Amino acid sequence: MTDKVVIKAEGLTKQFGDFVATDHVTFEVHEGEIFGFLGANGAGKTTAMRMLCGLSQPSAGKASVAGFDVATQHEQVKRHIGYMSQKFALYDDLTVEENLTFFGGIYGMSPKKVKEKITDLLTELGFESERKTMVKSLPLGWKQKLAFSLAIFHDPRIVFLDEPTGGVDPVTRRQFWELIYQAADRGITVFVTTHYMDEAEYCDRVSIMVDGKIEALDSPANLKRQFNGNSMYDVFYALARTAKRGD
Amino acid sequence: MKQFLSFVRKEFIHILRDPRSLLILLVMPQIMVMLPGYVIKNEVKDIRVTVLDQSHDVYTTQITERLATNEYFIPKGEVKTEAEAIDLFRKGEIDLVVVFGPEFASRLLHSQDASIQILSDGSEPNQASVRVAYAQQVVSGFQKELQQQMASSRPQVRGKGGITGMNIKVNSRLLFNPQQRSEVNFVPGVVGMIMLLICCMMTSIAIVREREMGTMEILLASPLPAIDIVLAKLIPYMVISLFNLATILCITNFIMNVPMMGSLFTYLLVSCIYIFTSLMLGLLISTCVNTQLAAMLISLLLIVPTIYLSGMVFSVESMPETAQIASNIVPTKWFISASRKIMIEGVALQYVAKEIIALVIEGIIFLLLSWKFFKTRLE
Repeated sequence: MTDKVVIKAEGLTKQFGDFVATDHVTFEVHEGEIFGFLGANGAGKTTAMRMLCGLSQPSAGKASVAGFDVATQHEQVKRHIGYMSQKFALYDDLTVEENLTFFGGIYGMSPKKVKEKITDLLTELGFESERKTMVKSLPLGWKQKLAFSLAIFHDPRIVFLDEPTGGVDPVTRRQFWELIYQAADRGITVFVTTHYMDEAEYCDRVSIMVDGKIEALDSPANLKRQFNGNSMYDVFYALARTAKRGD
Repeated sequence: MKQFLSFVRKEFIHILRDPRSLLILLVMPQIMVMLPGYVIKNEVKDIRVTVLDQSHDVYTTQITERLATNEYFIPKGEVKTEAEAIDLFRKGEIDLVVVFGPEFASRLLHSQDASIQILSDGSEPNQASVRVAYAQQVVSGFQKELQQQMASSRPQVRGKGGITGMNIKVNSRLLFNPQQRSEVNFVPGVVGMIMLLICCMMTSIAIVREREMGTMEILLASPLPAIDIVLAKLIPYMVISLFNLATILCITNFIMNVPMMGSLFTYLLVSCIYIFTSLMLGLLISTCVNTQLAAMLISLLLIVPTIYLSGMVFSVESMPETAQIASNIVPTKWFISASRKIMIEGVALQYVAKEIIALVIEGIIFLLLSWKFFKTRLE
């Protein structure tokens, strides 16, 4: 982790009619950091994340990702990020190898490089035997790992993970976080939303959103001290119960 | 470009890996063409008739007047030569030509074999036969009256064994489709239907699937421009449509012996434009719905009125006026009309200009609407 800022949001706002989904959000994320982006359902996490990924235009404020403005330079932003959504998003009817080749291809990697990377990746994951397996016949945990590997397959500077471990058992979640640590060690900044408070403990710093605003932002240890809690759950509960918005 | 090609490649893998869609895309079209076409007889009204009169005598004038005043006919003046009549047929301005042979009146009175020939447009064989029958009724009605008149004024004729004189021989001839084969008529409609099914339904399902599976988000978060994503989805279906078009033309030409009277190039041009319009319609559907099921249902909902309104089964001319107006927004109607003209009547490009323009305009409207919906969805 370095002091270099890779994500910078200043008064980032998204309004749908009268509803302010994300309300003047300001924060910085450093290179190589694992940044937890917490909040109850409907707090505005996904909206904020979509703006940072260049998928949606901010209504007000600005943000830069990897040094590029998300409002005006979304093509460059997209080139330097990886994205893994809530929904499991691999092609079921394609093999592991075909999925990886496709995503490598749309990021403009040469076929030769794609081939090398696939071999490296599958060896690393101990997954070589599943190279020609149809994705639909893989167990969920493996699919999840594969989806993450896909999100960072093109070596992005930042990877955005939107509730990546929903519906996965604790052992697989633990393994999944091993992958996240490995990616962070390689200098990839990880921006992750989650509902699991044990996962929040794994992050370097955590922000907690309530009703579209960031109400707390610090390392898990500092937050626990500040809110007098034993765990991140206590911190989250103290903040989230003040929320007026529901689902 | 490389990014784009790897996308197109992925789309082909999707199609080749799913036996059901392969069956729909590459086997069903050919079977549909091979199935014999049963075309339902329709009521025919407003028959546009023109007269080729080589005699210009009292009787031909009387028959012409009867045709003109008959409720089923609309008189469209006179022509001097058969070539002129055929030209009017090609332009789609007339449905029937009544040809009076030379010296009609004197032959009718003396040699008893005055002849009338009725020419009709055989590219719509069922209607043509109904139209001819109506014209024959008018002529035989006239003949009967004339015979009665003669019988009462010249009773001596009766003595020679009943009414033997005053015979008018009517023979009819179908132009363009002289064997009156219905498959000739059926092929353009089936091709129009197949293209709509593949380009519209299969394409919209393929695009919506990405959204339903959640992969669309991932694609949009990639540096690939949205337009590339859409184009890459359309290309495989365009290729498959062209392949089907080629095989169908081979089947109809070599196996079913349906000749291509007009230029192949013109036909392919019109087909490509129709494929474009159908793809845009598929794209529009995909931007309006969220699930593959909804995409399929909407496509089917569009296909049913298309069967009724396109002129594939029921002729557009015999529909009520409101249905005729409604039929103009059905792209398939324009395609079928143009392909009948090219395949069966063999007309040149300029005679299908109206159909081409209609298809292009509709395609562009679908494109603009989908673009608008796509933009709003992104927000």
